[in-house]
This record gives sequence, structure tokens and C-alpha cells, in this order.
Amino acid sequence: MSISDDPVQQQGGGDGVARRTVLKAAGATLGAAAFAKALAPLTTWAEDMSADEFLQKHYKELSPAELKATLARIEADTKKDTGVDVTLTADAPIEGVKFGYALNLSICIGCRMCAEACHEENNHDRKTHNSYIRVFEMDKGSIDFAKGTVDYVHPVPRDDKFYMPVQCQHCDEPPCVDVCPVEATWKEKDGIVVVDYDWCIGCRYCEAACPYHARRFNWHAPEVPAKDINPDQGLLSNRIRPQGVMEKCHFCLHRTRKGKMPACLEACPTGARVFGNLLDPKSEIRWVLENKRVFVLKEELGTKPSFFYFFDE
Amino acid sequence: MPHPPAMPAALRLAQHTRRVVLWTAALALVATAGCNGAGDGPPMQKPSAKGAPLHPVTYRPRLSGPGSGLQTDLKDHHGKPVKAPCRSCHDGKLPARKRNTGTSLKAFHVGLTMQHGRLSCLTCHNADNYDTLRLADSTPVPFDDLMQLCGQCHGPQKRDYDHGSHGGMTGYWDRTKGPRVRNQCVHCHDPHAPAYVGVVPGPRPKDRFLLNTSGGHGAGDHGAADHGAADHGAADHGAAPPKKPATHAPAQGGH
Ligand code: HEC
Ligand code: HEC
Ligand code: HEC
Ligand code: HEC
Repeated sequence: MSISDDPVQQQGGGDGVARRTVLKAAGATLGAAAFAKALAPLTTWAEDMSADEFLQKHYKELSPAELKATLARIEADTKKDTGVDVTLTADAPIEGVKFGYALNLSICIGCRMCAEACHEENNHDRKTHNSYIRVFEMDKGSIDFAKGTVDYVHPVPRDDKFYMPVQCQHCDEPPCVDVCPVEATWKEKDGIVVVDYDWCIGCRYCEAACPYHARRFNWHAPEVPAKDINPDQGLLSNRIRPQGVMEKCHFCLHRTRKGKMPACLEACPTGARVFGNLLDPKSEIRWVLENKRVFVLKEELGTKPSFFYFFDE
Repeated sequence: MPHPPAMPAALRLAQHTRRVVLWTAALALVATAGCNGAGDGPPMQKPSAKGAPLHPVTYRPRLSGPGSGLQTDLKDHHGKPVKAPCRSCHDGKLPARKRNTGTSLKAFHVGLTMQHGRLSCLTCHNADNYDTLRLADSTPVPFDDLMQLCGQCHGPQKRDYDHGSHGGMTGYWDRTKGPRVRNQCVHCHDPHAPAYVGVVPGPRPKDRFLLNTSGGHGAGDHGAADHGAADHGAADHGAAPPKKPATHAPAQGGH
């Protein structure tokens, strides 16, 4: 199954596939009885998930009014669940902007402050200390991050090591997007690969398909003490995810689409991170691409990352 | 957020069932109807107009540093610490032009560590006015304007800094939308012993990825989400830039 660049055309100008349609069709295919039986356990967790939530349309099909209603509903649900007033936004990509990120491996010391900032910014589960960033400690002279360790605890940096933070590479040819059976994950026009948490069915194909191990699965809904919840939330980014869906780095789109730096960049005490608009020839990220010898991870796979690494000469 | 009790197995199963149903349903639909795809999503945001004014780039202020003199233990009648101008001692005192070590200081400034090539003190300090620094061509520079001083000997780092790839920043990538704050060299490098100081790393991840690995792949593992590794707090991360862009920065930065 492939993802069309022009879905409207491919489906003949219709409304797209609402989940209701899927369910109806499935009912017809599987037989109404089997379908009903399979759905029956739903009644036991109806409290947990409202009908609205279950019938939530795909993000890309929401009309402006529906989008507004969705944001309001989730804000209200969050208030009910956590007592916290959050502001949920759904900033669209900006015309003429394609995001790129570069990381200076000569500078990074492996302090994990980026991973920590991600943890806090993105309302990650506190118990598992989840983060979209893993920092690999690797022997100098190798760049096979699979051979690195991520659980080091000794003071950093060590002389014989270098440190490589890895997060979603926001590939131009994202294997994770290709394998999603329901189009719950896709690449936006500014290059950010997003997940529609309401549409994801949790099959984890994308997790397996990602060569960078950048996707995380919510075995539990993230648990964050109310006082630590970041109330500045995005529909496709750091809002508190439901249980059983995939998530991943979204370049802090609730910040970056407002012109701000991602949280991991601001938190970096060493200044190893460079973020900006690849389409702006005067941007810092373009300067890095044009003046440093940058490389991408696992180039041979043809994934075309928007995330670059470099060493100073 | 109130910590809900762990989800009972039955509910988890239910959740799982819903997924399987949806998943099968979706596949079935694709197989039968052969169509997929969603709409285009909300319309894109318009970029700022060409030539829109840019918000400023400012230097993050330094809270300590000699500025108007050397910190003393004394307080003035407002309770503010008293600073002694460097010249209060150094005027009339013969400068030690050859001095290039901290250990040679016996009468004052004892304990200053000097590990910066073999630079003499007066490469940077201004023998004509100890309340300022000096460039190689003898131009005096104030203590709160150090970028050029460091930059004259560290061209590559200064160039990288000017292009945003050394020294870090906070604020906006899009300066038509908001300002940016840059660190100064001495936020991260002690001018007398500039090697970047190491730290104890922040908390390590405790996700499943780590369960069956000393670092390699673990994506297929189905274990519990939490393996309860001990927490060890982040130590003092001395030079971390402030989270919120500072508003009262003194100098205008480049770029
Ligand atoms: C209380 C008096 C006093 C003050 C105030 C003072 N110094 Fe000094 N400084 C000295 C003395 C005494 C020495 C010589 C120490 C020695 O020979 O053991 C010295 C040495 C130095 C030297 C080494 C070069 C030389 O001429 O010996 C430098 C550089 C220096 N001071 C910089 C400063 C700066 C910058 C300030 C202000 C921020 C300052 N000093 C404030 C007393 C002072
Ligand atoms: C590479 C340039 C450089 C050299 C070489 C240098 N200094 Fe400094 N020194 C500085 C700068 C820059 C500051 C201001 C530091 C700040 O703003 O935090 C400073 C501050 C000081 C101060 C003020 C007190 C403080 O620590 O804030 C003293 C005293 C001082 N230097 C003494 C010396 C002595 C003695 C030597 C030689 C042994 C020396 N310096 C060599 C750049 C230099
Ligand atoms: C007059 C020239 C000169 C000036 C001015 C100067 N440096 Fe240096 N710097 C050097 C030399 C020489 C070295 C030593 C290189 C070596 O040891 O191999 C050095 C080394 C360094 C290093 C590497 C240290 C290490 O151990 O790895 C840093 C970082 C540094 N300087 C930062 C600064 C900063 C920040 C300033 C401004 C306060 C500054 N330098 C001003 C000449 C200068
Ligand atoms: C945000 C912190 C930060 C700021 C600000 C900063 N640096 Fe650095 N700098 C680093 C780090 C981190 C390293 C790498 C240290 C390491 O590898 O251990 C480094 C390395 C260096 C080196 C050593 C390069 C080498 O090959 O060993 C020099 C020289 C240097 N910086 C100069 C400067 C100058 C000049 C400025 C101001 C224009 C500056 N730095 C601003 C963090 C900073």
C-alpha cells in the first residue's frame, strides 16, 4: 500500500476515509456478528475513551471548525483528567519553510541535557523517563551507533569516546510512513514527520521500520504529575498521548512553527545544535551544510534524513 | 495528574482488541475498496513579509565577572556588595609583564588557575588600565565585550559562532517572530583555564530499549516498560543557558 502525494485525486475527490467508513466497511467484510463481538469489550472502557474520541476524524480531514472543536474537546478532557489548564494549538506548516537540524559531534559532551529537556517539554512519562532523544556514547573512530551505549553514568566527556544524540531524522523518504497501514503518520510540508495519535492503531509497524529506533510506543498513557505538565501543547506534538499509540520527535512543532527553537537546542549547554530553515539561504543551518562536512546516519538506506551530523575540522 | 492505577489486564486486552479490529478493518477496506488517503490538512501559514523587521540578537548578561571592579566581601549601606576598581590597587603598581602563571601570584589573586597556552596575563589585561582588557593591537575593550578579544586568536570558533554553530543560543530561529539570546565565550570557557569542564550526565533513559542491551537494538522486545533503574540526578550543569531568554541584555550581538 502506498501513500499518494495527491490523495484527493487518488480517491476520486471524495471525503477520504473516515474511521466510521472503515468500521462500516469492516463490518460488512468481517460479518456484523464478528465485528460486534470484537468491539464488545469497548463497553468496559467507555469511561476511558469518549465516543467523540473514538470517532475522531483523521487530522487531515478536519474542517477548520472541526479542528477547533477537537482542540477544545481535548483541552476540556485534559482539564478533567489532570486538573491542568492547557493551551492546545495546531499550527500548520509555514510556506517556504523546510526544517533541518544539524549536530556538531566535536562539541557534544554527552550530558543528556537535550534528552532531559525533551522529557519535560513533551510531557513524557516520568516513570520510564522517556525522551525522543537517545545519546549514544561511542568509541572514537567508529560511527556505528548500534555499537554505542546509552546508559552510561560516569562523568562526561571521556577522552576515548564521542557522543551522538539520535532522534527522529525526519527523513524525506521515511520508511515508517510507508509501512503505516492506516496513514496515521505522514510527512508534513515543512518536513516534519507527524503522528495522528487519534488515528494510530498501535500496530508498531513504523517502530520496526525506523532504522534509527526513533519511535516510541506508549505501553501506558504517560503519567506526569499535574504540576509538571507543560501546558503549551500541540495537537500533533506534545499533548498527553493516549495509551497504545506511537510517538516520536516532532521537532517541537508547537514551538518551531511559532518561530521558536526546539527545546533540545535551547537546553544544550555546549551549543552543539543548529536548527533552522533549509530553504533560507541565509540561515545558520544552510551555512553548516555549505561549510562543514556533514553526513547523515545510514545514508546507504536512502532515507534522506533532514538531520545532519558534523565534526569540526 | 492523578496517577491512575495500572490498567487491569482485561482493559488492556480490550484496548488491544480495538486496535486489532481497526487494523483489520483498515486492511479489509483497502483490499476491497482499493482506496486510501486523507485530505490535505489545514492550510499552510503565510511566512512573514519579505523585509519584515528582525528582532534583535542580544548577549546573555554575565551575572558575575569583574565589570566595574573586583568583588569584595564588603557591603555598602544599601547592602549591595562593594566592588573595588582594579585600578585602586594597580595604578602606581608596576605591571608584571612577563607573568603567565597563577602559581606566581603570592600577594593577591592567590589561587587563580592559568591554563591557557602560555599567554601572559597582559596579553589580555590592559597594563595601562586594569579595569579594561586589550586586543593585540592595544585597543582597550571593556570586560563585558569579550567576543572580539577571544575571537582574535580563535578565528574558526568565532566564525562558527557568528554562523550559529558554536556557542548555542535561545529564542527564535525566525527572527521576524522574536528575539534571540547568545552566550558569550566566557559563559562556557573560563578565560584563564578555557578547556570546557565536564559534567555528570543527566538521568539515563529507562525505556524498554535498554532492557536487553548494553546499548544495541532492542526494538522487538516486549518487556515491561519500567526496569526501575536507580535515579541519579543531574549534577550541576554550570554553563547551561537560562531557559527563558533574558530580557535585559546589555550588548547587541552580531548576526
Ligand atoms: C586589593 C588590591 C588589588 C585589586 C583590587 C586588584 N588587584 Fe590585581 N594584583 C594585585 C597584586 C598585589 C598583584 C600582584 C600579586 C603578586 O605579585 O603576588 C596583582 C596582580 C594582577 C595581575 C598579574 C599581572 C601583574 O601586573 O602582576 C593581573 C592581570 C591583575 N592583577 C588583574 C587585576 C584585575 C583585572 C583586577 C580587577 C578586576 C584586579 N587585578 C584587582 C592587587 C590587586
Ligand atoms: C586570554 C585572556 C586572559 C589572560 C591571558 C588572562 N586573563 Fe585574567 N581575565 C580575562 C577575562 C576575559 C576576565 C574577565 C572574566 C569574566 O568576565 O568572567 C579576566 C578576569 C581576571 C580577574 C578578575 C577576577 C575574576 O576572576 O573575575 C583577575 C584578577 C585576572 N583576570 C587576573 C589574571 C592574571 C593574574 C592572569 C595571568 C596569570 C590573567 N588574568 C590572564 C582574560 C584573561
Ligand atoms: C592571544 C591569543 C589568545 C587569546 C586572546 C585567547 N586565546 Fe584561547 N587559546 C590560545 C592559545 C595559544 C591556546 C592554546 C592552544 C593549545 O594549548 O594547544 C588557546 C586555547 C583555548 C581553548 C582550548 C583549551 C583546551 O585546553 O582545549 C579555548 C576553549 C580557548 N582558548 C578559549 C578562549 C577564550 C574563551 C578566550 C577569550 C576570553 C581566548 N581563548 C582568548 C590563544 C588565545
Ligand atoms: C555554549 C557554550 C560555548 C560557548 C558560548 C563557546 N564555546 Fe567554545 N567550546 C564549547 C564546547 C562544548 C567545546 C568543545 C569542548 C570539548 O570538546 O571538550 C568548545 C571548544 C572550543 C575551543 C577548542 C577547540 C579545540 O579544538 O579544542 C575553542 C578555541 C573555543 N571553543 C573557543 C570559543 C570562543 C572563542 C567562543 C566565543 C566566540 C566560544 N568558544 C564560545 C562551548 C562553548
